[in-house]
Amino acid sequence: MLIAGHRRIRPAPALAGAAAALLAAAVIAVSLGAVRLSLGEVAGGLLDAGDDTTRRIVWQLRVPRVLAAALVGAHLGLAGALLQGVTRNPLADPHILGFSSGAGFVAVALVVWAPGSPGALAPAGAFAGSLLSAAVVYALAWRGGISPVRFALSGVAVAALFTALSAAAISLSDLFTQAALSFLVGGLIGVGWDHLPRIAPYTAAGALAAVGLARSLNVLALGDDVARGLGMRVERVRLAAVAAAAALTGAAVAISGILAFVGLVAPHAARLLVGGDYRLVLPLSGLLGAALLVLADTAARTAWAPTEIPAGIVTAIVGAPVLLLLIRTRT
Amino acid sequence: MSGPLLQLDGVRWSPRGHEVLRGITISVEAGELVALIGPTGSGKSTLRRILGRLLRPSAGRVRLGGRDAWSLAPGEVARRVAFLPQSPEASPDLTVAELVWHGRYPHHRGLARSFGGARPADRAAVESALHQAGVAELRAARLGELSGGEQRRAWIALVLAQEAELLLLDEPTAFLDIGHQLELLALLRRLHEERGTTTVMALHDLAYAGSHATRVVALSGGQVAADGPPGRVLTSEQLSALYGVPVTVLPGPAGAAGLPIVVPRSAAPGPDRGPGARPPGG
Repeated sequence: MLIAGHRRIRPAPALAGAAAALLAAAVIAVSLGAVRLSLGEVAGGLLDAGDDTTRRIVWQLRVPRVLAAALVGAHLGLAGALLQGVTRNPLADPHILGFSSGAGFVAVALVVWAPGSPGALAPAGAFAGSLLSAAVVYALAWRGGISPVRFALSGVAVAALFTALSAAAISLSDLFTQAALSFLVGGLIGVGWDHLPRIAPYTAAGALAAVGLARSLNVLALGDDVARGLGMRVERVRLAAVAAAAALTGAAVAISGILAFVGLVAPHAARLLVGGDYRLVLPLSGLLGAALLVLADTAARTAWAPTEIPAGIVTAIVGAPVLLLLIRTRT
Repeated sequence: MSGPLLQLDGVRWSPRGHEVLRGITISVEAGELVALIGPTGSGKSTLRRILGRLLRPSAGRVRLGGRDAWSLAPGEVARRVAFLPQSPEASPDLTVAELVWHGRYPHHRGLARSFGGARPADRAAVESALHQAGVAELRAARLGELSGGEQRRAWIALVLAQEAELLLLDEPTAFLDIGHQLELLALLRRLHEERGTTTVMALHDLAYAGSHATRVVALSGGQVAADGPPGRVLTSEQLSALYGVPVTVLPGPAGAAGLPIVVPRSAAPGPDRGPGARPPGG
């Protein structure tokens, strides 16, 4: 990386830079596709000025997809930052800790066993699944308190369990399971305007929790004993952060399926840029997660055109080497 | 406030019937500098966990300024007692000022906790803590750039910024070299003499307990074995009984006020059992 461990970017430029990067990624994403649009055409389409076809491509197909990718990416980035803070484990993320797998299992179960269920049920069900796996991880790690290491290891086990259950549900069903499969390797194929209002409440709840928890996560980084000595109700903070991460993850998985590595990479990039202060790391992780997934989804749509591949494949291909790099440099 | 700052009354800890503390009664008045000593297994670790409110006693009461410690909200306790665990760790990227700022955590609530700026009272407390601990010039330095002793002083500044009535330090000299050990104890002694800071510290090193504390409380078998001024507690007879090895206490080179020397009386003192050679902890 270009930024050495000690050099930090000041907060305002870092946040402004990340917002600009997200905007640039969004403009690129709207312009690329089967019909390539110039910047002028994108602007025209957005302002309702261009021809009918361009307007339809911009407003009906690409803008909702870009917004969905940004929201899901922001959810995963924020959830990853919350979980890394609360477990003090730089390798924690919603996917590795099993939160995504629990959400994915419920989403798969709904598709396989309740194919007619209303779309609004998916985020709620996935949130429930995510909470369920979080609760299992929590219970397994509990021994009069939560140790970050036990928490992470329990998460790995629970992730494996729910992934296996999802695969079992798919292989036992005799339905057409393309939809179910798309939860295991997630993506944003076919996501449109109607998906956005379903996850917005979770976005708001997660953002609010992040605001409330940021300073406590900073203190928690000094260790449980120091945090208790400073009067923190450590288990309450941990529970709130885990629940917020579960809500964010569940809602994201409900519309995109399981996307690996976004929640891992975004907080790391944020910390490299601004240091360990969660008051900055949390919003920055959200912005970077959003930009990352917008780019990954654009690549997934266009790289093998006319065939679309799931964005989850792109995030895994990019994320796996990043994870290995982190393991080599950080542990 | 009248009355003792800290009062333990028949404090017991007996997990699953195994008696670790058998009724500890101590009270600490404002302005005391108390060293807590005792061999491994004496209940010293358990007692300091109880004092740090990490462990709830099975019986007995812990009172802070007359109020039951367990009836107070955690934040309220943190405004009365500042607890520093043994060798705490922080990101090497954190600056000294950022670390010390965390000492203000119990004084903030709600959303002001996350995004409220520093109030004048916070600035004054942090500033004063940085100066008292002698790290004011290091405020912009990152912890990773500091020596072990400087880091420990930064942590002392954090608990001072908490502005609690009582400092509770767990082995403050652990893992420091002898120069930094003495420097840190001199800092605690100076805080005691100049500011009347009340401190209770668990100490492994008997010589330091003798030279720097105003009072020594010795634990043995989960009970208070001796309690009083260093000269009365740190005697050859008491220490021999406490640690189960015959030792002689000699006045140090600086006379009665200096470091006393604790020497094993066994026939052939091994090279690794000299005074102060024991590893900290336990």
